[in-house]
Amino acid sequence: MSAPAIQLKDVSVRFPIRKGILRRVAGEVHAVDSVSFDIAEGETVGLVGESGSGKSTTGRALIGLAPLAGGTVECFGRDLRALRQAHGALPRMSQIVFQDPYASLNPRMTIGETLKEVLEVHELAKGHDADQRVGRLLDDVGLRRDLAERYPHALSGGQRQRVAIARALAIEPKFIVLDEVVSALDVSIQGQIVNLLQDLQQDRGLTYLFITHDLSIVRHVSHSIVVMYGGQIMEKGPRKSIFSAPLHPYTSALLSAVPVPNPRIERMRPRIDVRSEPPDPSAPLPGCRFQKSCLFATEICRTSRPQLRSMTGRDPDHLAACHHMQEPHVREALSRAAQGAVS
Amino acid sequence: MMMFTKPHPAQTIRSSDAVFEVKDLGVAYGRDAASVQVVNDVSLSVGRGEALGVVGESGCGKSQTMLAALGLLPRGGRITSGQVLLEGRNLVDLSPREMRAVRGSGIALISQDALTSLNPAMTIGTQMAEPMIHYGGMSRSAARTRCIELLDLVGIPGAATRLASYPHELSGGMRQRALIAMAISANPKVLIADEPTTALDVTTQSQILRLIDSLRKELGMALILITHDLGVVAGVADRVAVLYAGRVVETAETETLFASPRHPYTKALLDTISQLEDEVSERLNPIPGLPPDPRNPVQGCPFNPRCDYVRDVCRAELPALADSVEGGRHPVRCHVDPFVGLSLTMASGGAR
Repeated sequence: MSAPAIQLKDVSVRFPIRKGILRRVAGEVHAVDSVSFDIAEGETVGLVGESGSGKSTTGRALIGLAPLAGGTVECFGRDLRALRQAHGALPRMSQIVFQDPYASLNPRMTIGETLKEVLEVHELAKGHDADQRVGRLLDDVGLRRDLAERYPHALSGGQRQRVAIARALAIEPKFIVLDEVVSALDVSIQGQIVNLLQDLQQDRGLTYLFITHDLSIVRHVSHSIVVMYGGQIMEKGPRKSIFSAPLHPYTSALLSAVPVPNPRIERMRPRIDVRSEPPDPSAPLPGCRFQKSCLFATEICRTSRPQLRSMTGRDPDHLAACHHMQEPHVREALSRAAQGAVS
Repeated sequence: MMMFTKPHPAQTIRSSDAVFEVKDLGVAYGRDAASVQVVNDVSLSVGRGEALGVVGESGCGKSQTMLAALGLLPRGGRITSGQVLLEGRNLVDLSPREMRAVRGSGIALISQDALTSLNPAMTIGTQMAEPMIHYGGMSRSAARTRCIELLDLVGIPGAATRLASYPHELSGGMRQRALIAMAISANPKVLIADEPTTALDVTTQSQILRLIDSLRKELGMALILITHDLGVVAGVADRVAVLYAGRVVETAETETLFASPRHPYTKALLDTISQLEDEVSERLNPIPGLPPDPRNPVQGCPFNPRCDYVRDVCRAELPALADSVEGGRHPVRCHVDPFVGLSLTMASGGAR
């Protein structure tokens, strides 16, 4: 395989906590802690986790919207930090689409003006030429051209999200961060947006980072999966092996929490529970981040941080950070939960 | 003598079992020519301790129905027809003061967004105790004891200290639990949960659903669970009503509905979810188009522009909600049924 399109190495992001009238820095939030993964060109990585897991911050760091406290990000073979120092801004190769198309579109600009602004700011087109390009962008995302005259409030949620995608496409990026792009939409509309994104990926060889807490969508769109909790990666690997045989108790808990649209199975299947609240990112505990919520945690989980490793006899690309993942009683509990979730 | 010989129509027996009933409800906004009908002839009923799932896309009228039932329609909205019965008493004609007495102890609501439903400037304890003191006539200390009891019941750890917390100090899941505690504080007979888990993470979502379900069983409440996600009703509801464009299009027991949907819309919704579990290379087959705009109602069956089974009659006439094959247990609003019902069942391999 050729070099990956996007490469994260030990990426950390920290935010200062300011207190008092002098806004003195009183501490730090460890939003993302030593995260490494690759995205192959033209493929999709699904980044999964709950609120506060650091998944959105990771996505923002990838396109230069969050400052790196450590580590490197390489975009198509070029170092993000070096690029920024050389050009003052990042070149037009990556873009982001946000969850809430109500908040991410300017309510006082028509759809046409919103799209045209992007083209003009980036000096890609002007005047009549820009209008033509706006028309083609609307075609690309399956919207009628006359919607250019409308304001966002006159559009449905699905249409608005298409506009947000068109805006991202305007600069012809090679890589797009999709941050919970379908979470706010109805189930029936989600499918339409997912199809659109997959068509665009096939036609243009786009590379995606698909951030979500919804495992069923991620299963459909991703080539590989990264699971985060408390700012760290708990598990990563090819989609198939993560869904059929999760190694980490947290991944298993996530899978067993997804409701199965079959009343008989849904009422009978075993569940792996998450016991407590997510960890406090301003005071990270030593050891495993998942220790407080884990059913299998022991002394070692409180003292030493587990490293990502593969399991003997399994896919070597499938890694998880758990001290106990090899143990028979853990394996048995997880596979029972996984069977309930897939059948 | 007459009393014993008079046959009971099936309908009357069912309605006397129902704690809460919505009958032929209509809701509209605006007046005269500008009037927009958002809910049409909606009838729902739920018995004591029973859980009814109400499913549909945004704009299908599911929340409007419940707001109307609670007397909480926003300005401009009005009930145009029908009745809302709580233990046989019609709520539609009650004065605002009488209605206030019903909300909380008769019907309680858990809304989607706990952050905007709670007062950010009041502690959890103060806002929980307020109605107990004002409406329930409790003393401050009795109210405090009751608050702690309720927070314990909904699984909030350290209940006594949490009373002094402000909403922003709690996580999303904890806020939703506090909201549930407030909803059940006056022992309502009917609990309406409007998308109670949509804003939550998937792990929290399953905990909250199980909490609501266990409280329903423990306290013997009737539950109405409103959601756009059929997966959510699968685990909780005894029966499901599917709404489309302000009308009920299908009702059935949950297992029946999932195993053999009879309305093409229900079938399409179920397909959309199950497809998501398929392989990455496969294209999804979502329901095409958009739900109709209530300002421009569709002629005939409102689903006809998106329906795979559409015929001429569907474009001309609105089908009635009727059951011709299952003896009234599985009414459906479709012209093509039961033909579609049978072929759908066969196409999906009998039971799903």
